[in-house]
Amino acid sequence: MKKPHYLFSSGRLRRQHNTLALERATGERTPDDDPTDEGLPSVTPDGKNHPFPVETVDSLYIFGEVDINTKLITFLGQQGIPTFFYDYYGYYTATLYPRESQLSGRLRVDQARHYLSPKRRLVLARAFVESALFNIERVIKYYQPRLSGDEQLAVQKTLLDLKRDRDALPLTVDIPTLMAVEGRIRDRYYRLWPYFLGPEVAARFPFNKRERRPPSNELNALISFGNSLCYTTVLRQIYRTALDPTVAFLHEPGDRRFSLALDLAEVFKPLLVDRMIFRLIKTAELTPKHF
Amino acid sequence: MPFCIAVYDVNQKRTGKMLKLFRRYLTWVQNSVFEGDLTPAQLKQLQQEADMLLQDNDGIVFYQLRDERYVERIALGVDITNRSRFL
Repeated sequence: MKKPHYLFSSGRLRRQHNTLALERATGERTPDDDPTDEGLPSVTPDGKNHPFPVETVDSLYIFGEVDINTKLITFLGQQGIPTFFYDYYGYYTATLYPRESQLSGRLRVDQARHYLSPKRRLVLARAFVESALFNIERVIKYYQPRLSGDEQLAVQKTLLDLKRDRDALPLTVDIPTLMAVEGRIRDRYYRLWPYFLGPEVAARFPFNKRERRPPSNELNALISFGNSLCYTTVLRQIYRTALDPTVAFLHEPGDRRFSLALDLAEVFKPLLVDRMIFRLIKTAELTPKHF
Repeated sequence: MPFCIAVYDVNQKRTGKMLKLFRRYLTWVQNSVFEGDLTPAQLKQLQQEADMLLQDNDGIVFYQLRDERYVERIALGVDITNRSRFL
């Protein structure tokens, strides 16, 4: 499967035999703002040549100082590989985005039409919430058998409540009421988190309430960060289609943000983000001292 | 994710071609040995392209494992493989 690749070494990235090859540099890397820097390659690419399979590259993240040429740009464009560049200090500088291949005016107009019609918009928005609920239930059911006693009862009660919420979904008449149901669902779900984590981990990572802007504690920060990763992943997938990422249905399409990514991410957050958070902190790969 | 090991034995004239083709999909392990994970579609694509190159007594063997977790990999001596996505 295609996966993002991260280039931390410096050197020259080349198209070689229709695949990608990194010619590693031997010299040291200098900051971009070094006064002696003349924009010329500061590294002599006489290190080892390292070819890697282009067919498995989803996107490239370049953190090293890497020389590229037009041949490579053309090749990346053909292969549809977006490349993200970061400077010496790790700040994002630019994206080399392949020519937008999936453009469809017809679809874009239709998408806007779905947004404008309250009835059609509600159908889509409901589908997002419904799928999110489905995945939330899956996460709950995954952890359910490991619990006992009062915790088990609490989970069972929540599952019943969620079932009622599910039944309430088709009755929602507009977006605000739908959002209210959605909020209720998340609230019930988050309240189970301490049980999933177990007393030990829950003590290390206290979690009473989901809070954002700014996240109030470590676990809230983790959720926010995980969600932001989920948004970019979803956005990358939206770019595979002709959909306009700014026109959303559940969320209000605003300025300077990709609302459609927020809509779609709702569905995947419980599975991708939440399960990963549980795993990272339960196995103590992440501890409070990392914050 | 299916994990696959590919081994080919082709006439000397075509080893270069095979190497170039396989490098696009998999990681080079040793002369005419490759490994990596591909989607079923990618694997099929690779197999088709490889099949087109075959002539006379050439042959390729693909080993497929349902998951990389089933692989226990032991390398003795020099191991030039680097399958990391972090270069």
